[in-house]
Amino acid sequence: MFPSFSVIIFTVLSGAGLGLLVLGMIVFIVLTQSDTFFQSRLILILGLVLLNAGLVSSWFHLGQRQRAWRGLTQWRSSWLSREAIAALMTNALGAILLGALFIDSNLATLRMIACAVTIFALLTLFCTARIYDTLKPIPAWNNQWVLPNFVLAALVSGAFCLWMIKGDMTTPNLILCCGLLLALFFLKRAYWQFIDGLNTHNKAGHATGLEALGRVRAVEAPHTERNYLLKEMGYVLARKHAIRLRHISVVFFALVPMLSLVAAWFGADWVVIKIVALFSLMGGLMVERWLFFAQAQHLVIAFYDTRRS
Amino acid sequence: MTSLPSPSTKKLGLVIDLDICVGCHACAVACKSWNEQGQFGPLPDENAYAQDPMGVWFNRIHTYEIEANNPFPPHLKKQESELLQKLMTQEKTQCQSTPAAMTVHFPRSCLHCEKPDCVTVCPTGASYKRAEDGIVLIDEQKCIGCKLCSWACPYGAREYSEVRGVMQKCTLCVDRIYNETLPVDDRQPACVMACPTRARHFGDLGDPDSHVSEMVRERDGFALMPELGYQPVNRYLPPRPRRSESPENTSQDPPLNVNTLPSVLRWLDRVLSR
Repeated sequence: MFPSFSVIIFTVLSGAGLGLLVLGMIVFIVLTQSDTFFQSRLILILGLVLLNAGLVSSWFHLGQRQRAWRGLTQWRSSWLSREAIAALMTNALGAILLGALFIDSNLATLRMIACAVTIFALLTLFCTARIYDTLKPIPAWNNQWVLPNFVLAALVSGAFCLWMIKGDMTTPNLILCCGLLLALFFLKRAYWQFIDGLNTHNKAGHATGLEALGRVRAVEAPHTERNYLLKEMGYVLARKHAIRLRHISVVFFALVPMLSLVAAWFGADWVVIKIVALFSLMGGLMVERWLFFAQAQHLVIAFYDTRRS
Repeated sequence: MTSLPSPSTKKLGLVIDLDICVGCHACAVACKSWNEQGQFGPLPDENAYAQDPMGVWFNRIHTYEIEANNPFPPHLKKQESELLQKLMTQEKTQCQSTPAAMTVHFPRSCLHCEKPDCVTVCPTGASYKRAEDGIVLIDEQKCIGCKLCSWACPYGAREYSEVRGVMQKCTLCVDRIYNETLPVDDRQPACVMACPTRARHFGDLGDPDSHVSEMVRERDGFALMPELGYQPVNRYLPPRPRRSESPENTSQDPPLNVNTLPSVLRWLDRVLSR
């Protein structure tokens, strides 16, 4: 699948914003005192800015942007529509909470709204992942690994944003962050092992139903020039490049952030380290998301398969 | 509306005969030219006259080569060929036939599935399936060009038009088949009318008595990638067995070594084997 830059930016930035909102709101509900209102406002503002930056980026991916509002109408059948509604609700509730924080409302009310924000942020993450894992013609996405990986990546990026805002981290929180990061690393590794072991039916004989007659291969494409299908789904990354990119992404999204957490454990939690860790994490996640697209083969390419199989 | 309508008995679709198709692309050209001026708007191409043209075509014809399951090279020595013939006859009794090598031309277009994911994933309701005849269409006034429907289609039925910013697909010539201004015989999809070898047929596959359903039964028509659960309506008729696989040649009698026969009987064997 062609890795569209706007969709990669959308999933990584919005994922970070939603992860920040989820974790930030949980912290708010559990630990709120009125002197943390400033940090809570920052969390909300940063979370909503990241979420909307991603949404605007994905809005640019559309062919007819002026009709984008129609994307909210088919929630009965479409995960993309459900995600749009959930994102809108998260925005609305986040804005309400922000307003309520500025006018110093009743703590119980604030906690209720924060709860709603958490729920809708999680729902948005869930719906986004379901868009991908319900696509049957893409075996690399149509499996149970995509949802947990997606949600965990968002939570990890949210956790590091939260660390930046909160300033310091208590030991249990450091351990929690480490745990989340390790979980993401192992889950990602398991996903990559899974897709490496996929026996994709990208064979011309299977797609055309002619495999019963013998070994089938395409000898003439239907067109001499490019077409949309090959442009969008014909992108296949060579194995050796994929492996190298996986290593690069792991260094940036796992190793460098882990080192920064270790440094913080030993008391070296300067702002520079946090910024480096956050940017490294986001950069690594973008590389990983790029790979998520580039390593996914669409079944339609089987019709163009020139290998004898 | 992207929720699927309750299934009706009428399932309009195409039957494509892979045995007859010669790969002339007349159907592809007829489709492109009809839809260029049809109800669903133009099919513009980018860089149409420049070096790198690209555009939407609803119907695309692939060409495949099928290698024979048991190739029988003609250059083998007599003893080797006898041995192979004996082995082949034994194998033929195990598997039904040993198809010959062949070239198959394969027109690929929307299969108007009964359970199309391309309809349910659409967030705007632009992609819909008609309840009355099962045709899957795109309302180009509503489409936002998010391309998710093309990701959901394993058959590559939907293409994105860079020029128009929307998705486009085969309409089963819905603007022809009900068109009262056309003579009755012309109320068929453009691709069906253009085919010079009559390899394409249009009809109601939900009606067991229609001529397309009869054809599917007679020739064992098959659907593409049925394991995905989309339940395509269009059917493909497989290539018929070639002459070398006719029942006389797959008999269980010991193979006849024609080189030991006198020339008259050799000639007779040749004539009777045609």
